[in-house]
Amino acid sequence: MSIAPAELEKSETDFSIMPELPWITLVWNDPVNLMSYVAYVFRAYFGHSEQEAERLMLQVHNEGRAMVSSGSREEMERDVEAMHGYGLWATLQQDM
Amino acid sequence: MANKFRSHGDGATLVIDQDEREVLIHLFSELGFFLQPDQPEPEHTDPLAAMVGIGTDSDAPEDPALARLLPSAYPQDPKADEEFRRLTQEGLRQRKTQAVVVVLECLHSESNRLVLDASQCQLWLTALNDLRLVLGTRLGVTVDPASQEWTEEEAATDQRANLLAIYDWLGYLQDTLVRVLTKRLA
Repeated sequence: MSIAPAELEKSETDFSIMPELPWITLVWNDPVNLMSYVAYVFRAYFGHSEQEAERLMLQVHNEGRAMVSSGSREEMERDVEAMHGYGLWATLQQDM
Repeated sequence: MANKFRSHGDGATLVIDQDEREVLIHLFSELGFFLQPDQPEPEHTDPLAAMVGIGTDSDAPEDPALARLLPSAYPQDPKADEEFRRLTQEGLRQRKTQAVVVVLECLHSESNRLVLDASQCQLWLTALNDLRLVLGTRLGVTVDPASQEWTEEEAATDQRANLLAIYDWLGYLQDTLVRVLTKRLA
């Protein structure tokens, strides 16, 4: 296999022109964070409505995690860093 | 236990007695020390990197409580995790430490009625949360606080019982501050 940049052969599935998979930020449940606090953070940082923040908070609480944002990798890293600032347990990954 | 954060202008007030003040000063001082890196950071050669908090601090913390304050952004990808920590961890430590410094300044005021402005409220909110994360991890809190009931056995030792009582009290305090700040969002 050559490591030099080779001419890409056109094939049926040309991955180079496929749109990049979006990235997502997940917030995970933990036993310490108050439910009222988690809902507050979702409203204050993401600007969610009271109902949407409540829904996401309950999803974290009941299902163990919730997707709270999606977008470019850089944007998700900003969101994860902000969540860590609030003390929420957040990770990012490419959406499958 | 009856004291709580109350709305005051765009900030909040909290009335505390001397015992409560001493407990909070002690715990937040510990948290401040706890947040410091083990090794002193090498001198920055890049002043811009120093200013935005990019450092050489890229190791995942071994202490479970510290790992909760500085969690992994990429638990499945050690390389990406290390790079993310290199870019963000020192800044995160600095911001958390700065919040603790502001809280301690407020706690050293003369009056037993603490008056916080809007930005101090935000720093109290996150610092209280960080303190509860450390205590909760140390105490091995594993179930949800909503259904948390300590068994007799768990509260067997005086020290543990004290810490559990403080942990509960901090949760109560934080919740009253969340309520004050949540009303502002509407």
